[in-house]
Amino acid sequence: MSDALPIDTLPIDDSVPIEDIGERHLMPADMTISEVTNLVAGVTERPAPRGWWILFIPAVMLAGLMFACLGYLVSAGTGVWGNNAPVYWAWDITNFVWWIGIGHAGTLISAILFLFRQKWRTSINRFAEAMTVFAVLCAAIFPALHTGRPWLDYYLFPIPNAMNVWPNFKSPLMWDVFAVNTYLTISVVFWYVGLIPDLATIRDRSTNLLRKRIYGFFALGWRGSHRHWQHYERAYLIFAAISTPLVLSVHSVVSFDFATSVIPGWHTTIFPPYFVTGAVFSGFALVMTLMLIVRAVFGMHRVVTLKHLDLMTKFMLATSMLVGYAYAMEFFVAWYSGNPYEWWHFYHTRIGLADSTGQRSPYFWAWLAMVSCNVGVPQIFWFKFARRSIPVMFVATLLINVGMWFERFVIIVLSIHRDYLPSAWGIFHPTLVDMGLYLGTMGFFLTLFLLFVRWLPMFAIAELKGILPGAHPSHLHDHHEPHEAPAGELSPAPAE
Amino acid sequence: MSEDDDKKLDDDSSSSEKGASEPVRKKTIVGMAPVGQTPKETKGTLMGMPAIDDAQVEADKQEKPAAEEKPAAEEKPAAEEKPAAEKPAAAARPALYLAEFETPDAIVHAAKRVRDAGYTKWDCHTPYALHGLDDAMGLTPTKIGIISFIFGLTGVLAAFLLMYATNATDTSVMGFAGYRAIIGGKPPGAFPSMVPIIFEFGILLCGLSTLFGLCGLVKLPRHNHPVFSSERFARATDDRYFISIEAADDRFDLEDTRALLESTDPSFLELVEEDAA
Repeated sequence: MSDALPIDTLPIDDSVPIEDIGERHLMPADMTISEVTNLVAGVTERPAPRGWWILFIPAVMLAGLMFACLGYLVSAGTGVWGNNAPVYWAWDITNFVWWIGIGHAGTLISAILFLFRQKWRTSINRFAEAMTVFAVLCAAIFPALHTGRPWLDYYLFPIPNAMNVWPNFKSPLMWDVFAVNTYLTISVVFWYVGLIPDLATIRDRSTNLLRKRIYGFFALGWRGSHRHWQHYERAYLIFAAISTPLVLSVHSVVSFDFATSVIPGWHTTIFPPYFVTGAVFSGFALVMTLMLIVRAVFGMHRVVTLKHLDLMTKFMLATSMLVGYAYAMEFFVAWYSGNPYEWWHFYHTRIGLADSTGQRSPYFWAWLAMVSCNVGVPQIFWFKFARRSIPVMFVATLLINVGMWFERFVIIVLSIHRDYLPSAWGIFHPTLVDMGLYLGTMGFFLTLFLLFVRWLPMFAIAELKGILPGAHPSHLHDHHEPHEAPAGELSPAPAE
Repeated sequence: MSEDDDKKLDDDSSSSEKGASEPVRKKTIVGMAPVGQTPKETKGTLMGMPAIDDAQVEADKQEKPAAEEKPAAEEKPAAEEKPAAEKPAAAARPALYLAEFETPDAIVHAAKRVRDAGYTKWDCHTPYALHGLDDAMGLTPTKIGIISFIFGLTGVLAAFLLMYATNATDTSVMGFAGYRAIIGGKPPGAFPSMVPIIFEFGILLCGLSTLFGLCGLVKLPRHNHPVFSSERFARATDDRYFISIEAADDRFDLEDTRALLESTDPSFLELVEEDAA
């Protein structure tokens, strides 16, 4: 039509596998568009399977535990936590970093893999985006409480006030406030924009007026118009493009909380990439744990195939190697810097070897747990049988999440319980409230997550349809310019 | 309104350019409303019905040539049967033609035909973003990126000004004074320490403006649309592809538009009316 054809019509279609190198379609060959609709939207229309209830009831009970702990904590004060001199940052900040990190996989899958045109992401992105939103909600609880008087948390925001007191914008903790809030907002928006066409699908299938109204309200009157799709696709690309640097910045800013201090073990420039890699690693592991459960509970084996799981395990293997490199590099820099405090920290606190005076940290087992779970366990994914075995994946991803929690514990608690002066050393003991709050946020997260898989389309219906074989006009598959058929040639009229 | 429609029906073959260039189709579409009937009469009888028995198809075939080849000057019996005067005009007002297609290829070819026929107020409805339709519909590239860019820059500037005004000056802005805070040995207006918040705030405004810009450009949320009156349209978000041509289009004509859509071989074609108030 015009000389400058839109990029969509160029004769390159990456949804077609390159058969020469053994690529196949991601989805089963006999999968139809309406099967995708029925599979995904059908979950919200049928009664919940028994497996859902088996998970949901304990999750709600644990969420109740979280609210009980929160209530007790707010009424009694943060003294009910085990934090004490010199370990002022303990499980609360560990949990904060752990939860934020888990959220990062969602953005990585939805944004970065989108920019790299990794089509297999369509089977897991909705799922992972939801996980991001819920994980960031859980994460935000901890620093909000850690301020000590959470009812004064509005001080964190630059609200004009009569005392002319403003936040100190030079503090990394303020950067955190902006980073986490922006991250939560953009994640919710990205997630919701992706949901709009799928909510319209559920609306159009609804036979019940209440469902039609509720889903219809959130679908905003979406009618699949291509004039809308055109803007929508570009908007989606913009969200992916801004989320990518955003997700890298969020965990970098979190790592600045530590890296800008002078504590041995914290004061290091490797932290931003180290934190981001670890975040993606742990998030992928949790996406996979939950995916395996939901896949079994709702019978989604045709949407999330072994090929998807195989790709995810490879991703975990790669990020595990990066994390392992960061662990090794921390030791190298501690030695190479010639800083005796830094070296003492790594040699006697982390590995736990006694120094000449017999001093060593009682926490060396935490470092061992971290390394064996994060670097040792994923090595099993070099073997094909492990990448194909659901039980192996399930156990490995659980262990990785344990390991990643220990990584944050090692970084935070191990570093501050042994700093410069032996007279200022201390030890941290978690209290029941610490444990209850941590378990409680897991329950809160699972509750939100189970409600999501039950009531919202857990896979991106519209995106899945777009990667099915034959989803796009066949002229895009031929390597020549689309041929404009003259009017009347397409469907010859019967002779008069 | 009904009288206008009658007029269009009567003189379309002579007045419209489309009538000259498009061969009139003899094909009968299953489920298609016979031309001679008024839109009001077709509603609830044939429209929205997926299949019709053979006798009905035969009846259509017999009826249609008569209706389509009618000379402009001929008195139309159908027009006399139509109880146009008794009805409120708005009730029978056509809103759009809706053609259903079963494959991506079919809708892309049909979209090219509609585009080349010069329609402007028309649309394709697909369950997912169909590649190649931008060109087939002759759409110009979207401008949403400009909105995001402008607001992203606004966020960057706003964050800088906020931090500068509150942390680097002690001048009063609208009664609120800043404080020249020297912390960590850094000068009050140290730029490097502002970078993270400048970045985050830029992203925040960029993202929110993309969301609201999208809503503005596509004019959603919208309470209702005539296209939803069609029962078959529910499959637009499932597995079917639709083309709608709105009656508000200058070239819209009950006869010609239908002939054009029929010639694109839709699996179903219907005239959707405005909902009666």
